[in-house]
Amino acid sequence: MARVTLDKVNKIYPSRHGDVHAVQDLDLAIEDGEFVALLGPSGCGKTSTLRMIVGLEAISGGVIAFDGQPVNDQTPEQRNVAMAFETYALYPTFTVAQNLAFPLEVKGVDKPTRDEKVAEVARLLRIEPILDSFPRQLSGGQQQRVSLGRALIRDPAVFILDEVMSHLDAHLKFQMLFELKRIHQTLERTIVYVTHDQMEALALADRVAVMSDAKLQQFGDRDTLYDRPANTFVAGFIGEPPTNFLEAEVQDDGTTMRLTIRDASAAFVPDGPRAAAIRDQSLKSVIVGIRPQNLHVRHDEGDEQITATVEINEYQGEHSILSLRDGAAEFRAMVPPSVKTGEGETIDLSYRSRDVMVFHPETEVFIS
Amino acid sequence: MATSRTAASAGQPNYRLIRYVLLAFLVIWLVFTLFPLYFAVITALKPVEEINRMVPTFWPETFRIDNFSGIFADPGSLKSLIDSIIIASANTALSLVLGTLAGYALARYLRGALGENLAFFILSQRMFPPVAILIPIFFLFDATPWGTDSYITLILLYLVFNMPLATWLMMVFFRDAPKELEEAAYLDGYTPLRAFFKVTLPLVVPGMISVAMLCWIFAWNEYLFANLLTGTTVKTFPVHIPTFVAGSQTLWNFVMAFSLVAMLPPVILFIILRRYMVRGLSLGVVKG
Amino acid sequence: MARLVLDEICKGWDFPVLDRLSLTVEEGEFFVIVGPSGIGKTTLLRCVAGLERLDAGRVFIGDRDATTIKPYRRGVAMTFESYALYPHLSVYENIASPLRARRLPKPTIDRTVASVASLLKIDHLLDRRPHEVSGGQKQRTALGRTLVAKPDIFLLDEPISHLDAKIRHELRRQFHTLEELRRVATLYVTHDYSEALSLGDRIGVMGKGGLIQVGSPRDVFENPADLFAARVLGQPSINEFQAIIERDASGIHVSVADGAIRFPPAGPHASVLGRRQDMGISVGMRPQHLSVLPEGAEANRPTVTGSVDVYEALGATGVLIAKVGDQQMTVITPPEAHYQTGEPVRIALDRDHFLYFDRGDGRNLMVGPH
Repeated sequence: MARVTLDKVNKIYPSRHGDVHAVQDLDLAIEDGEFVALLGPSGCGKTSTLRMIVGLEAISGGVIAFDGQPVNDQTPEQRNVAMAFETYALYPTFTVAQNLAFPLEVKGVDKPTRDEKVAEVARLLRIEPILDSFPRQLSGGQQQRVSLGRALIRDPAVFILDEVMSHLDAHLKFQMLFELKRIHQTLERTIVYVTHDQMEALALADRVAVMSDAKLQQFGDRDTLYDRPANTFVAGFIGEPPTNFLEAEVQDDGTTMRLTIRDASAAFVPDGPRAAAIRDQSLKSVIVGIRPQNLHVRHDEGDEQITATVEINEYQGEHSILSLRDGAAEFRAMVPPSVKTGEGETIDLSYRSRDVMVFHPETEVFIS
Repeated sequence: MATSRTAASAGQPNYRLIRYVLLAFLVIWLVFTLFPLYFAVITALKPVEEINRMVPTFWPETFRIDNFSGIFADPGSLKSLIDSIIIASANTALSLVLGTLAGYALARYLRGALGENLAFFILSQRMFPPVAILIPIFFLFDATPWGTDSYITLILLYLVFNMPLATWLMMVFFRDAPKELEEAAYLDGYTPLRAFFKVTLPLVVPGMISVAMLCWIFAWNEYLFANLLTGTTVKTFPVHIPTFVAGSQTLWNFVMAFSLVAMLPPVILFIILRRYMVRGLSLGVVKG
Repeated sequence: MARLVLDEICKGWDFPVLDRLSLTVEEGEFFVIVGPSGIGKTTLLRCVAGLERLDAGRVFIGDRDATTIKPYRRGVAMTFESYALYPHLSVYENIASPLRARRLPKPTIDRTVASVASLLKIDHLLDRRPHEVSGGQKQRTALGRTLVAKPDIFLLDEPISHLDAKIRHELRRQFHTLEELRRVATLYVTHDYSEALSLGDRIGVMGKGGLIQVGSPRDVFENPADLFAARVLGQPSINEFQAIIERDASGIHVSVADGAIRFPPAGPHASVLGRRQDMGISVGMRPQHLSVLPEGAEANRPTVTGSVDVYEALGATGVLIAKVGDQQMTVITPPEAHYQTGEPVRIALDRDHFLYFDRGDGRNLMVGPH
């Protein structure tokens, strides 16, 4: 087990058209036994970061340390890091048991110990019945488990999972999420999980590091990312459907503040602390962010209200998504499936003023 | 933690040592292949007397650049190169057209056991020992109106060797070209023939270039059949080389100089087409 | 402009994939087929497109029997799950491909491509090659290629499943609003049930051999024909329990796991279940019809007690798996709540929405003749 710290880590790929700065001044401290997700769109630098932690890629600048010891010059073996890949990379001519035992065999572990470890890992991953099968006979989910098992069996200090679920279909993915969570709860091992899927990251990780444009945007738990996103990128990337962003003018009479949506009639009322912060920075305009889940049809005491026209009512079973229009502004709301308001009809929606997120109009930084 | 790390490194093979051993093998291989070339070059630059010494010199004492102009004193030299170019190019063109079409048919329309067996049968033609059919081939071409000693003879004959290879390789390239792209083209409204030329063929161009290179080099270098069947009206350069003899003495300087000149066309072709060729050969490996 | 009629089509290899499948998609209808991967959805589209030869049955496009018409004369456009963009051609040339196939004059092609590209917001990418654009842009290019063809039938194979949430929602919106798609018969296949529910005028749930159920999204979700259809729609999956109907003086009860979960079914359900001879049934509870009661809260619904096994906080909601007796129960929880493993929970049952299935053939007991 290990604590993993990244201190001002950089990755620069030289190329003919100038250097590509893939990771820029990344600071990250992963606690011992913590499950951390590296989340970001493709090309954000998360894979480069991961490859530097594993030791597959040289570190251009900064220090990566395990338990306080710099590992910059160590090979993956020396770092004792195990990795499971997006492609399962199972040896097709080996049975599941042989695949699992392979990393131990390479190390020269004797057969009785190997068998014992294989049985243990198989029990943990619930793959005992398929130990004698060959990879081609297995379903995608089973192959993924074996691949995880092969990484687990080495008893690594840090366990790294690279987009391991992107090939699985939705139902299977959901099952595997819970499975992985359970495995982590049992093993209490440091896990770094790389994904582009915000749902996976939020579901699994204790803390999520959101990356974009080679930089760390925010590192925090689900509630922090969800309620206090650092900027519009994080707010837009976390949550589905994505957060609505609306440009608004600040109208303030000193007691009540209204954020009137540009080219529309609706206005949002921020809560007290945010209004105060906007006053402090004496902003004339802001970007309002409101999550579709936070626009309700039910009206509770103290809620604010806006009105909009329904353009599309998408029924989704558990809920419906309304695509709404007010003047030139377009946004979405997530409502119960019983709402049957159709195209062209108007609807009143409520929100709590504390759910109104406000961002700086130029820097797009969250105003708290 | 610390103990387990030491244990792990003790069990580790020494990667650096393995790397050096592998590099040593590469060096041995390079010496093995480069030495004959080096010797050919210095021989081509020596005067005959120096070549015939009992103790060979490893660097010419006198440089004789005029060996290279000397070989063209014989008008047959230039003609043999031209003959070789004509035959190799014509054969390559034919091999490519026929191999591409046949390879496509195999890849798309004959999948399954029948296709596999037929493809293997075609390739097995290439494994046939040519000497076994030398005499029958001679009589066969002798019975044709154009006889044995003509361009058409060698152009057709080399198809026997190049077609199987071209067909097999093109089949592999076509199998790697996604069928879905063709289907997308059908749905766009292209007939199968137009879809083939517009969509599928451009995808296998790198493969075609590789195949063309292999065919061309085979036809360029072939000696056995060329020597038996032709030699008067048509004479390819490998057949021409043994004619550098003065009395009982082989003019090694001319032989080597001419061989080096004959190496130039394939080397130049390879340099020009290398980019496409490497891409073609690795198409199947890198994909996915 | 035409409607699509499939008449008892059959297609199979070593085993039947499509077994006497019949379906009519009206002109202007957006029909979505949803089902697990590998069930034969793509095969169905390929049969309609003419890329697979039918073993039996017929395909009509309008009044035309298209069964034996070659794909390049069928007037059908299809997007492939892999996009199938021509790698050696630019985005412009990819989109122009169907027009070039018809040998239209260049100015016409230019105009059509430009208008479709601006509609799909890829007009700035026309000179790029497919490998130089993002996944969403590739998808739009593929879509553009089918749109310019002005076909009688659109076939779309998992067009947005592999894209990021943001682009997915944007493209969904486009599928809703694109006139070109909404005017003709469209057959759209996906494994993502929310896409199906959201986009389909009607949807069909595909199981082994063919369509299990066809209907409006709401109807199929709320009244699935059988357990399979109930499983395909919904995330997390529906909770399934083997249950027994118990009758006593107070009325009838549904009992799971020796009474660990026991409740009187809602009125309309009770009357159907009460008439049943076979006491063994399966009961289906969607996770959103179960809720964790705050401590001390009054419940106006039946409740069960259990303990937290695993809890995952997703973005908009949380998902909790509770142990109730020896059963596992998946529950959707509000975003603010947090739970620890082992913590006791009381779960309220929204029994009005529960589903009851035959244990043998899995059919929904509340649908059809009782």
